[in-house]
Amino acid sequence: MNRNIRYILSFISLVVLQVLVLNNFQLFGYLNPKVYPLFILILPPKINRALLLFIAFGLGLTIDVFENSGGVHASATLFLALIRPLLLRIITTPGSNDVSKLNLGFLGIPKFLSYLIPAILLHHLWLFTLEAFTFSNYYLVLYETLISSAFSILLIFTLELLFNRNSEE
Amino acid sequence: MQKLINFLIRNYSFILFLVLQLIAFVFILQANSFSRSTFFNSTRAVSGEMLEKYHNAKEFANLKRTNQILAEENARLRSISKESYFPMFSISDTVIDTLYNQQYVYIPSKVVNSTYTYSNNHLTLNKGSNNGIQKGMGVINAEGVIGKVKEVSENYSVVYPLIHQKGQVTGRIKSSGHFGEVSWNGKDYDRVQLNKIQRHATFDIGDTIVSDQRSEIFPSGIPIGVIQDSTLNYETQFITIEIDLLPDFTNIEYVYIVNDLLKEERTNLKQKVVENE
Repeated sequence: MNRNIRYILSFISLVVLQVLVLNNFQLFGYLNPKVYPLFILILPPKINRALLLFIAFGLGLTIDVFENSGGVHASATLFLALIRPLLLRIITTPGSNDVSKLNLGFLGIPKFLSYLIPAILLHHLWLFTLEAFTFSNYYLVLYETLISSAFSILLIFTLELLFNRNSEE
Repeated sequence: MQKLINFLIRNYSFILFLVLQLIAFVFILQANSFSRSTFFNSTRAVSGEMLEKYHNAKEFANLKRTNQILAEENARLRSISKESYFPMFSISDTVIDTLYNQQYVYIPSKVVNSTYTYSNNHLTLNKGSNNGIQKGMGVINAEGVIGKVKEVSENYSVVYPLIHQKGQVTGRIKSSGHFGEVSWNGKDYDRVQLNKIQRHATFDIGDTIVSDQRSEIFPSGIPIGVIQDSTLNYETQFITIEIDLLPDFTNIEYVYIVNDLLKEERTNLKQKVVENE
């Protein structure tokens, strides 16, 4: 129960951080860092896949309502939820239970980054492609993806350093 | 049949992904079409109110600049008001003026949410159908043309600004009168394009582009931007003009929504012509 409350709190705080702070903090034209994908990444490794997809859909739609973007974020978070089991294979040995929690404190920096970086890149690529809604000027989408991903990764890493560094209980 | 059911059970999460993804795409398509109304947007009560409360707090930071712009506008309006003209004639009886009929009414409104870094941007205003706002009305501010109303709820409305790829308006070169469609290619938030200008049109870098009443939305002569560059397309023989926008879309606080009182009359008249043909 206590664990569920922690997840609900992190859901709310990530959405608030994204909508009220980061969406108003637009720098250099193409820079749109996103921290909310972190919520999907930190859900328990053994979570039911259908539940994961529904949570992802709800999270994405919440962001969409605030950004007037239809279902762009919902689509991207769904994609992230779909590929999460594949990403988990990068940091786990198949068949073993060596990863019980997905945060920086438990995984350590190298494992956490090798899970986070491909996840954010793929999420952002999907997101900005849909957001542009066209394949013309595709290099612009790639540029936006790379720049924003770099900042998203930096922000998420900082958040994890601040809040999840020593949570090894 | 058994195989199909087995397949569905084994891949249920992927099928669920496809179903949810389909729903997301329906929302995206709705958000991208001008005519259909979108269900999930910031005119919704909860998100609209939350954004407005937040914006009220943020507004303090911009009060100085807003004051300055309003003061400038006041000064300009004062200078063109009747009181600031010296009467050069001396007729002393009262004339009831029936020559002028009010055509445009302006409804002031505050921006509660805005974006400018996306390839399709939006503004949310704190006036809605309760204040007489309707879909398709024009939006301007003290600096120039902002965009047009896309969606209205009771207390809020969402605007397609010029920096939305579907936020086209009709623009005119002020000096020569040639007109075309002002649209945005999704690149720079301070730069739009005026398309389909005939190649014989004359203009110079630095000329002003203003709104045109052919747009059926704005009164004539509201500034849009300044000509920065132009290119001739050799295939279509049309000129595309690059325009530096006059309104600063990174910092919009107060806007006016333009209500054209004669729009209905014009629409009815055109309808009659179409029916007779």
